[in-house]
Amino acid sequence: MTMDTTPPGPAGPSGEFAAPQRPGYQTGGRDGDSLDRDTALRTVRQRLPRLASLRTIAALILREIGTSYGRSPGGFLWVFAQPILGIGVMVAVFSTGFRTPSLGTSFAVFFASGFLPYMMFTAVTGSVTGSVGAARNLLAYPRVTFMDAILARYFLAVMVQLVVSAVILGVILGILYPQNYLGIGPILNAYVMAAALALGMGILNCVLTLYYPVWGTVWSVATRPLVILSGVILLHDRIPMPYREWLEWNPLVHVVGASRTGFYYSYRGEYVDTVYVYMFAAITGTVGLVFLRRYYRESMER
Amino acid sequence: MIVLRNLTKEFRMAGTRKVVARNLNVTFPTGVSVGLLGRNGAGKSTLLQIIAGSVAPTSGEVLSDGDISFPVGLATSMHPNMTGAQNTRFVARIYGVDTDELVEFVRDFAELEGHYHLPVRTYSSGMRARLSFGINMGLKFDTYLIDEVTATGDAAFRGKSEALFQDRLRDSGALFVSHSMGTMKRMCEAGAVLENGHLTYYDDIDEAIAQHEENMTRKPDNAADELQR
Repeated sequence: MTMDTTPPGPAGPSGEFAAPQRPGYQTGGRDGDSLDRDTALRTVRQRLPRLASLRTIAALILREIGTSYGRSPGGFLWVFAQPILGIGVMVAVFSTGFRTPSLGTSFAVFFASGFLPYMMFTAVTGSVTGSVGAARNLLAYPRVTFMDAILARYFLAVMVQLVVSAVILGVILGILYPQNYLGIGPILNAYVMAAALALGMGILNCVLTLYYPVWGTVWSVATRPLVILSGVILLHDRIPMPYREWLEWNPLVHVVGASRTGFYYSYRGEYVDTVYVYMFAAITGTVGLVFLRRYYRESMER
Repeated sequence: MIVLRNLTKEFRMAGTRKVVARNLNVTFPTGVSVGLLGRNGAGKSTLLQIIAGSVAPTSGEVLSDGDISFPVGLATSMHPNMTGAQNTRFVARIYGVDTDELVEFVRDFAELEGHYHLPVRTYSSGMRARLSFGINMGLKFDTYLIDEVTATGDAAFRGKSEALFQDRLRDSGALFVSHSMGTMKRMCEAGAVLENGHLTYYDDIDEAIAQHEENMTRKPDNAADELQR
């Protein structure tokens, strides 16, 4: 066995190529001939088994379940508290001041149809935003990449929000206010849009908070009014021009609008622009990934 | 076998440039235990992290025909808020081995007793090293990367660690960093000396140690790096 398997680099001065030959080296029967061995050479990343990433994501999800829901008494039940409280307060306040909501007759259906997809966005965005920071120490394992950390949190948060929505909508529509019409297509579209936006925005937030830790606070303050500006409380069509057009730059307006078209047969939601929402998600996600790769490389060099 | 191909690694910090690896082309043969020598701050730990794949090289690549462990050592990848057992379970999952078996193996080996079920942030550095070493030894790798770890614990624990490590070395290779030349001589067949970004491989650990000790009588050659910035 000689050094012939490792050609010196084009710019490599021969003086730096310091490994001497090793006539006494035993392969211990582990290697084939040198041709076999040469073809088997891979970089560490190339050598990963095909399902390694899925395995890592599953391990991160299990860990996340343990740390997020396993600690406090009641655990998983707490994720229901925010939407139930949010919808409950809105229903209580508006049902005392108004006779009927902007659409239909039930305040609970009206607010749930807007607030739940809205929460799919905010909760998942928040989860993805903290994903890389929370998995920081685990990224030192060569098998854990930042994409694994993001996807693990993303999948878990989306699943949790889907369960929360399904349970709350099930109670409202199945028991409290049964109704004939339910457009599964538009509702699914609204949730997929919310989840896509959350991934894009979450990745962008993630890298922004890594570079500028204050961004987390800025984001939470800046997005407080979103629940009003996204048509959850005020139906978008009721907002006067030109403010209505301005608000359509907010992609959540389209998410909430699409969801409402699935709950109210007569509601058309002509302003809903699905393509705009996916473009928004793709652009924020791509920009986030580009900077995240750069950040990751820099942080790996420390 | 691990092949470093045109491997360069440099840091830029506060305006100065530090070169850890300067266009290295070195092959570490299969199944050989190699002691990595070099002065403090020469970049031995960084080189291990690059070989493991947890630190990116500036240019060049690391190739291998076998599985390489994550680096065991004091600066480990343990998550401080997870317990020792949870960290073990996590590693078992990402490497796709039986979680219960590995958890049991590490519990028996690392002798952390009650601390095994406490968060790693409460551990002493020696306990972290024992946990990290235990997890690594519980997994099957073709090359183990060991950074300054056998110097922890009492004499009985050190003896047990060395015996287990020797056992693993019967069918695996290793890259081994230690400040104790006695340990190096016992554990390693071959040696490699990292000096000023150049890595020189020696078949015989004694030769490598002799070269390293000669290097240590000279001043480090940093002046050249400073000028190139």
